[in-house]
Amino acid sequence: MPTVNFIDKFGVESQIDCEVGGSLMTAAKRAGIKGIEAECGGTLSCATCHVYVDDARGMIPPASSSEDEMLEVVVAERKPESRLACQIAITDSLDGMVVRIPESQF
Amino acid sequence: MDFTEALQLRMEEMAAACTQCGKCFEACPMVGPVGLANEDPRLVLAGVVEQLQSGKGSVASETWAAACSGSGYCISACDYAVNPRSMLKLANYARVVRESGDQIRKNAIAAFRGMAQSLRTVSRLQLSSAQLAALEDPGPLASNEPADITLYTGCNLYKSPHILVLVLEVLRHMNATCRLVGGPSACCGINQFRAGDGESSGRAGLSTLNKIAEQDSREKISWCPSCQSQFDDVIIPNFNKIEPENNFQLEMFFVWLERRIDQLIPLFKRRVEKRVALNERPGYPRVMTAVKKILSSIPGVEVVELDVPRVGLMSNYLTVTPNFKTYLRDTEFHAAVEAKVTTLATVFHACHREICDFDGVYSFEIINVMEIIGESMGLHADDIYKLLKVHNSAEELLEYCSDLIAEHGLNASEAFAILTKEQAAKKPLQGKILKDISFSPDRYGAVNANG
Repeated sequence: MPTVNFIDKFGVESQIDCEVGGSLMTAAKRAGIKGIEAECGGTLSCATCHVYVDDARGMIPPASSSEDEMLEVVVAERKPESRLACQIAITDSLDGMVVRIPESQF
Repeated sequence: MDFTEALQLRMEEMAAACTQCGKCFEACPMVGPVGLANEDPRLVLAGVVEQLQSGKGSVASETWAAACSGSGYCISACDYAVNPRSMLKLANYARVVRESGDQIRKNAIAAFRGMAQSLRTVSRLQLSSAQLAALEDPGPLASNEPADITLYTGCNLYKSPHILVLVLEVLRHMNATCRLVGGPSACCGINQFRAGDGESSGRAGLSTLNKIAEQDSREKISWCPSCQSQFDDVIIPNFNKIEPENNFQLEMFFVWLERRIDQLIPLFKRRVEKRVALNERPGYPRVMTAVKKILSSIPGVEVVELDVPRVGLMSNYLTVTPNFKTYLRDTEFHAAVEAKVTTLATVFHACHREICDFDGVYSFEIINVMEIIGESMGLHADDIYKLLKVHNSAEELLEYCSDLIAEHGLNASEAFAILTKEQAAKKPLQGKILKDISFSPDRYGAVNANG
């Protein structure tokens, strides 16, 4: 089970074990990570599961056009490493990945 | 076939099926209020058909489709089973798609986020995290048998949680096992659809449909007429095109409850001495019939009919014509006074939120139907939303629910601003306020004739 490191807006780090096959958003919600709202439950309607992903190893497929459109309207600053957690599928290759949570989702 | 292709196909089919006879237009109570009373019904329908085909109709057809309040009188007026309410919804969608261009997705997200933010704030001002969690998931069933029902709550019922608490308690007393699906993560897709985003609307609606189906309960019922209408008019017909073999159906809660009246009546153990008029909504007439039958079965309750026009799926659908809405509300209140009712009972949550603070202003109380049913069964839940509505400043609000504001990490001023906006109920669901003529008693007859 891969471990992902979440860092919240205050710099507090949480390590969570993520079930392979689910999404990063679902894993974060299950673990009670604050700051990932995911109001729409992963149907690409809200962009409130915005995260900054350190994917230096290139393990995550690039954002789809639908995700890219949603990233245009995130509340916090969009950065090159911006992604929607609901669109990131958990695989073993994500072990050790660092995910930063933005200041705000609304 | 994907959702937007199914949507396009349905628009083409409806455009072909409509004979443009105009009877739906003649039956519509919104025609007068938006200044279309002198339009030729056949020409307006010709415009609607053009609008379905190209997104561009006539001024009259575009106004009419944008003003639809979901009253549903058009459905029974149509001799060709076209379902003009669905047709207008699709025609308006086509116009919004054409006019919004590359802003569609942005508008859809803003609409959804606005709803979600309002819901999370208003519900959190009333309930602790534990209470919210209990309402979102009542917990595992006692056995591995399928639940009797899956109740789809929609989103905004959580803004007036006492209604949901009573619904769940009534079900529990009936020994009906229940699974819940609801909240923004189980959206019917209506906000996205209104913004012209068929793709997002379909994704949300079909996802929710699957969530309801996955519960594998014996029956599927819904509370919210707005969600039910989105499912009936858009999501389910499209799903039927994508998966013709499916048999997905949603029944409205009160209709389901009335079918079990024999099971319910023995639970009405307390007399409720009330003379009750209903805050009726015509969009789902079977719901009103069911509610009246249930209330009439409660010892002590006398149901009184008010001879007033009934318009809108819920009252928030009338914000598109504020003068008309105020006129309808005042007319109902005065009729309730004249009829000497003790109680004006709201049926739906949005209607309740809009008028509950008039409780005690006139000679009658304003409560929800579920409170009457609950009282007869010895059940009670405080109407916290009504209490919140009387707070006039952020300071007062902070004092009233400081513990919840702290628990949920809310900013009191922001929460107050969101609550005030929600309670003012001035933003039309349909997007913008349309031409809204003033009403005089002379107009009353015209509305009656239509409605």
